[in-house]
Amino acid sequence: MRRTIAASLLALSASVSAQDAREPNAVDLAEAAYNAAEFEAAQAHLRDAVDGSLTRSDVVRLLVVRSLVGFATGDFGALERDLLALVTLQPEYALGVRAPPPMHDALDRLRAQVSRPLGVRVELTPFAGGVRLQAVVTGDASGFVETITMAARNVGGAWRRAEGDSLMLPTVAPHDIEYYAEARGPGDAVLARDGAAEAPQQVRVQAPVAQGESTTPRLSMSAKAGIAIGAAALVAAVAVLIAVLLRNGDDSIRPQGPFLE
Amino acid sequence: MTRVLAKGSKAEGARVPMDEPTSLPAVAAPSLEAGSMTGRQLGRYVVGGVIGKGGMASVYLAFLRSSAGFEKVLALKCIHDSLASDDAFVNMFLDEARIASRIGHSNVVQIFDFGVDRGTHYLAMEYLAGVPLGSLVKRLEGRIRQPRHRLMLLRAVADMCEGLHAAHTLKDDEGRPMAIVHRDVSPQNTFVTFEGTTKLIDFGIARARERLQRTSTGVLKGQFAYSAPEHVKAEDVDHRADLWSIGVMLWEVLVGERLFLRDGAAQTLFAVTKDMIRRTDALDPTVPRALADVVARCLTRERTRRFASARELGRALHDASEALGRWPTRPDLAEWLAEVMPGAEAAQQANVKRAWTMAKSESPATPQRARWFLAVPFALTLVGAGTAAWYAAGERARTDAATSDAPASPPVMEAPAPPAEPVPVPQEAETADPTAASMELPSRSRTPRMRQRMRKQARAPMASGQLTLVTPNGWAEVWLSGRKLGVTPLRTSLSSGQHVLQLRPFGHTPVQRVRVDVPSGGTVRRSVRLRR
Repeated sequence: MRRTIAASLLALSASVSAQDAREPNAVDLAEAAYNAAEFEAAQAHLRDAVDGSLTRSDVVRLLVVRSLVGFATGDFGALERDLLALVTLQPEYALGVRAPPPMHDALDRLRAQVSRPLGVRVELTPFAGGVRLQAVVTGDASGFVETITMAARNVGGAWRRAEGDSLMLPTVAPHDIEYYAEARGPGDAVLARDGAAEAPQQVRVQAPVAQGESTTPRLSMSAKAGIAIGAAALVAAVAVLIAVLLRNGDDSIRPQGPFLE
Repeated sequence: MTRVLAKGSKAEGARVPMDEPTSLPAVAAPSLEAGSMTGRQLGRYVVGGVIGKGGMASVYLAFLRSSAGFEKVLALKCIHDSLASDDAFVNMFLDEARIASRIGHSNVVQIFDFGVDRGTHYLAMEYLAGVPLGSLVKRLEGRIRQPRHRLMLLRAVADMCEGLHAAHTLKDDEGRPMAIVHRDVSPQNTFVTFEGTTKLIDFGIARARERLQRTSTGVLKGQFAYSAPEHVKAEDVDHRADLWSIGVMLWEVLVGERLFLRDGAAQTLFAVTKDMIRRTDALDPTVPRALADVVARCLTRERTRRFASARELGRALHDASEALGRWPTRPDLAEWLAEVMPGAEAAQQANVKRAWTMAKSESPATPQRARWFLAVPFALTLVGAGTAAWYAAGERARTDAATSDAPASPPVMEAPAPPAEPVPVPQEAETADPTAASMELPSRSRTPRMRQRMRKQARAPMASGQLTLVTPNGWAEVWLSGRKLGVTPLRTSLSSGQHVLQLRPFGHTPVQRVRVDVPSGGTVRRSVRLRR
């Protein structure tokens, strides 16, 4: 059996080196162990992988191998979690021929439950002397995101970084700022991002109109329209109410007291 | 396919887990094998053999130990070691314990205790000697439309309704409804004991409003074919979802066919939410109209039109069954069960005795690690004593080989050598040790030779190992001696010895044969490339 693993690893390293000349990582080793029917060894490598350093595509492969091992060992709870994570990461992912029909069925079912893929976006709220950046993770049905990292800077300035979902950036409005946010998962892999260090999002921060009022550039047109219509409706309702009350001659219901004084 | 979709543990009481009802064994007595916990002491309990395994836990026969010895038989559900570090699973496990232990009703399996011992989380529950309703339905295939069988099954379902009603109406300490929904009511979770009592089991995914932890994935874990439409559509469910499940069971009991089970999970889900449901009396005119009305009312997709409670449904069942004959009593049900499943009770009793032997043959109070240290001197002592006896009896000295084997595998000293022919996997308890009765002898009245022979007999059927099998270039069905073991990738237990497996690539012929030699207590690993 060790020969089988060795053969798998040889084949693996040959294909890997042909592709991108990199060393096999823990996911590669797990896959080799799985192909040799060494499920315990595969699980050990997968645990190492989670503690190591992975790319997003590594994570997808990790989930596939781990779900296959989960199927083989009857660990169906873990299997479902991994398949759910898989479809949140790659909604169109198709399992290959080595996965048996029950896994395909389960993946299809879970795919139907996932309304949107994993993503992260940043909302900005200016305040006097700066802007607050808030990262919002969406579509994380499997609770796969472990950490969020954010960075922001005034254009031409130094990056200000944060581990977490919010960041305060001092700035004097109006001013252009750049930012990005990354949602990270197993192996510190970046699972979703809004901007990137090398291609950050850029936005002009306006001075806050009033205390607490958001000027986030991401406020949609429909939301703005809704607010305007709502305010107009409120003013109209108050005007109608006052008119009705004033037209009525009965003193007993005429507004009294400090309101009209 | 439901293996993937099955929830944590489908093993409870005395049932065979994880199978579709269509593949249940003819006799539902559980197979019994040694597990990783066998012989250990967990809390107050001495652990015997495994009677069921699921994705989340294994269920053991266990004994409550008193100062006078073993007294009470119960079932011990132990969460798998691999999951013990997973807080979500442990919490789900404990939730099951908390919820189920509050439901004190004769038609719900009783939870005695739960706890953790040396990292193993366990749940002590009532040991159920009986069979799942699903096995009964399978056993009655072709005869299920006979009025007597129908009446008995209806009585069992009506009893289960009472247990369910108790769960649905459970209140917390402050008198607030706990809003428990079982969400997995099915023939496999409805257990009929040999005493004629019906028990609802496995509140593993039941949800209460007060529940502290929930499954984080929101994944449907029940068996789809019995799940309510609102459940499979991931809408909020209440107790009426369970009434739908009962409706599906009733439909199948009356018609003798599966209502929603389809080839694939997606098709099954579609059927649950969209397929037209034919009335049972339209399919079989012998079904009384009133009974067909009850089923139809359960199976309305508009839940407000279902029965208001499980109790109301149970009473309606009782009233609507008048046309079939006299409503059976509990003893009637017990007698009928003995007729339908002959030998099953005796087989399960034999299993209990065998589990007892397993538990006692180990040192229950001794931690596993310590047993290995004790095993070597113990084995050497045995060898010495055996050698002396051999000489005393006038036999010629032939013990060198035995002595030289001793240190290599001390615990095996008491066990027989691996048989030349593969020992069949104990599929059914009908194969239980025929000497079971002799095991009841007080241990002091047994001679050492008797003890040794009994240990051999008790252990021989359990000489087994593990097979792990992968087919990297495609999936395949795995068959052995006409029995489907599963699909690849696969890990399964097999009796030790040589076997020739048949692989059916993608479920089709031509088959590909693979020879494996399963070591006793070990694992054989095979990676096979399919010829395509």
